[in-house]
Amino acid sequence: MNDLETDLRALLAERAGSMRAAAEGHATTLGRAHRRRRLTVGVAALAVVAIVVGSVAFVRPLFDSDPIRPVDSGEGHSTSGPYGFTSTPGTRPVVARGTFRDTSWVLRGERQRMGAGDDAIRLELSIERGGGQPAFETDTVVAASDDVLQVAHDLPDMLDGEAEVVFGATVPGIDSVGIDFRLGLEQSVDPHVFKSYRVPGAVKADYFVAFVPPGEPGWVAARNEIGIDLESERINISGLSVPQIASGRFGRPRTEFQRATGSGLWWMKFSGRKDQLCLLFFSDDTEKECFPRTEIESADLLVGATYVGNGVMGVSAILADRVAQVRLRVDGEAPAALPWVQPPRSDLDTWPLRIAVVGVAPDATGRIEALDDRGRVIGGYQF
Amino acid sequence: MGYEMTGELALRGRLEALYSEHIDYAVRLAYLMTGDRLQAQDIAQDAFVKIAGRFRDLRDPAAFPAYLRTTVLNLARSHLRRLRTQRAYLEQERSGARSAPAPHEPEGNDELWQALQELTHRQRAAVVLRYYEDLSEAQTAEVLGCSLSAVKSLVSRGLQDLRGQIGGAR
Repeated sequence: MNDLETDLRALLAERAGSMRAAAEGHATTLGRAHRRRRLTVGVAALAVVAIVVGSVAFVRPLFDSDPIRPVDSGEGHSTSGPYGFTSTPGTRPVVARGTFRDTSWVLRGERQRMGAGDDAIRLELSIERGGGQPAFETDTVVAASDDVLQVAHDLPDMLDGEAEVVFGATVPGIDSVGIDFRLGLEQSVDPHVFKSYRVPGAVKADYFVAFVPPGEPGWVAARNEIGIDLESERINISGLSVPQIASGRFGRPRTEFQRATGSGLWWMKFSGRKDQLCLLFFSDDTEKECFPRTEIESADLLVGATYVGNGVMGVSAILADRVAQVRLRVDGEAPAALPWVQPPRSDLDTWPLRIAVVGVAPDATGRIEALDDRGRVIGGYQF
Repeated sequence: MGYEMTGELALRGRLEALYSEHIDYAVRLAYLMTGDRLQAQDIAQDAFVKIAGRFRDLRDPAAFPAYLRTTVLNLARSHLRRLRTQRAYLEQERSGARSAPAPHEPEGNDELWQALQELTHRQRAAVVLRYYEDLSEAQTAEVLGCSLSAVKSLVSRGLQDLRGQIGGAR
């Protein structure tokens, strides 16, 4: 073994050990109570997740042994417009292939063994230009333990900056995928969805591909059969003109929001207890905003703005049924439409809640507005 | 109802035991993959939440550690992807006051540690699995879902890049 390998082993052991030491030091000197709460929250969350997710009807077992299905060869899809493209379902390992402008693309999906007999799906997208030579390749892995949406979208250079490709997979329970761009201007791109492709093994998924404007901030959302976003992922966040630094998804457990910020991760959860709803942020410390049920039922828009640490102010809005759109106006910036999520009814019984969450710079000022289906402002909150 | 409650309590107990047993490992692995202490804690926590949601459906519960390892690696990969898109914001942050170093931050071998952060995700994963987890090349290939030769290549190129970045001193 040479010096580098020896040093590498020592370094990795030292750093890994320091992680434990740091955690223990933190508990003993700076915040034992905080760490205990964090771990307690973690264990409690696991238990809740197991019980809730195991009980929810629409969650299907992903580890049953289904026979390998034949691959359908459909007629394919074609969309128009500057980012239109064609696609044709393929034969394993090709999920689909097609063309975009003067390039051809191929999406492949294959089983990947994860060890201990379990599976994942490896998705690989390649771009070919003239002569069948691959000009760009990228891949992503959808593990059995992944959430409902897996997105890869980091190909800004492959088409000379003319477009990006968004591709990924959704697991059962998702009916459609929506891609919205240019927040506030409500432009959307329809992905091509391939539902009949199956790889051997335990993970079942549908696949999607879309060509989209380069550098445009937007959302990719996985929706159920009635169009509710079950999970979404923000893309091209660096192109945002407003100081929104939140990025993340609404994933399982569905009573949990997660938002990644530039300087750390903070979680937001809500829980319905008694006659009030509390939105909890977990970050450097726990913060919460609580709204009485009477207020929720009588107002069109309820907003809480809480500094949650890591240089982020979390702004959360609870929307009444009349609200068709919620819009963020940060002073000096262009307005941006906010996506919202709707918790499953089973979690909050009869509370018909929809909630929008965004992180803004802690010194940002602005307004959140609720609009009805005619675009009229029917409520607002200054922060 | 009683039967269900018994099952849920048993499940909760198993999850708590697994959490206590494996959380430190998950945090350490996430830290080696991301180089970020806060992210490592969140990734580890997130990995447990993900796996817990499907724990009932695991064909082989004994595979939990393997699932945890793979989930941490996948989450670290997603984190690094997000990090790329947030670079502008991070640079803006860095232009301001730098945060104080975390307590207990080791100071030795910083050059090699920094070089490790510059490896690609798969190179870093291969290096960590080989030199921290002490997995064989075959086991590493199984975890990463690639061939044995690909692992040899990833590790070889990773070491080559590390040597290049630290000036070929080792």
